[in-house]
Amino acid sequence: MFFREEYIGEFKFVEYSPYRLAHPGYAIVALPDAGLVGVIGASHMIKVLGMEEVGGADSPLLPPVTIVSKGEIRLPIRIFAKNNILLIYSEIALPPQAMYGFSRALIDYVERKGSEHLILMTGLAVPHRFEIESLRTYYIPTTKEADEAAKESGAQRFENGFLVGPYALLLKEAVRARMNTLMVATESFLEFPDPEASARNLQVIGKVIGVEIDVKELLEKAEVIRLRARDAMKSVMKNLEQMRKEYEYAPPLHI
Amino acid sequence: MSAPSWSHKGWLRPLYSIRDLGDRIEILIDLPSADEATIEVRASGRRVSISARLRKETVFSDWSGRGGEVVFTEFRDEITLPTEVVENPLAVDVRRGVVRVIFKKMEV
Repeated sequence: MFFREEYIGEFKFVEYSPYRLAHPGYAIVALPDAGLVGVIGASHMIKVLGMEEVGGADSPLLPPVTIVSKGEIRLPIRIFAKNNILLIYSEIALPPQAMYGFSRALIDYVERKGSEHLILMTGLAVPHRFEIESLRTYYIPTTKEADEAAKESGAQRFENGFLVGPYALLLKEAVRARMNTLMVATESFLEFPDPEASARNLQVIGKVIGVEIDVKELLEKAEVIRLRARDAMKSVMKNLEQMRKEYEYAPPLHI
Repeated sequence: MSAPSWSHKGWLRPLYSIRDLGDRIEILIDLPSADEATIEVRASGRRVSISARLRKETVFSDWSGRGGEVVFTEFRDEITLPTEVVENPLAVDVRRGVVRVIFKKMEV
């Protein structure tokens, strides 16, 4: 039973119970992309912070998917909340044609729920990931405020290069909507699930939002997560190939 | 529609990627939880077979039906390369459960 539903463009947002974020409100977005870094990290965050599933989103632009979770019917895009943190989570890769409408609808929705900051949680695919022991995390801010928020996080600013995929569109839409947005991207595999990168990413995000996120269990269970995530990763790779993700490896001609 | 990446007989298909390095072919294979001593990667022409035992039996018991009751014990797959390679690899390297194998391309 839905408590409330709302249509924004071609997306339907539903809520299972009333909620509103405490101040300062953070909305964190975790969508399938390089190494499933955001999705794996978000799943861990939901567990360790004890976040409650408060709603979801769906659209005729998405594949006809229903999630059954602990016997309950859930929508393909799931929304979790606790105190001042909202987490928008999907394991299902969003088709490129759905991403434009979704970016706009999502920013509109989270702002109305009391979100003052948007955090985009993801991996930054590097071709030599196999050889890297110490993973670097980068950030891309859309406002001065977001830039300030990231300065003490241990991440370094990403200055030049291409971004391809769901977060590329979310960043552009965040600029248009003048929303304080920070993309946090940790070096990762593109084609293999990378829980180690998720753990590093979570540590940086924890500093930005002022919440300590224990990643010990995530690192201990990394191998099992990699085993479980194989099918999701395969499906996401098809989606990323469609979006020409390989552009990210190209140096831009004009800086 | 792709086949599932697991079998009810207890094996899993690993994720892998192939890169053309000019005169060599590099294959990266993700083998989490594999017993490194049992990893075998064998090439014959354009075909490469991969196998490895898991260090311990694995069950995804919170997954209803389908593969949720299967006890997984090994990785197994056969992949096709874009070109023929020399049987013996030039290099095999394992790091954090990811295997990198480099084969020399067969001269035509």
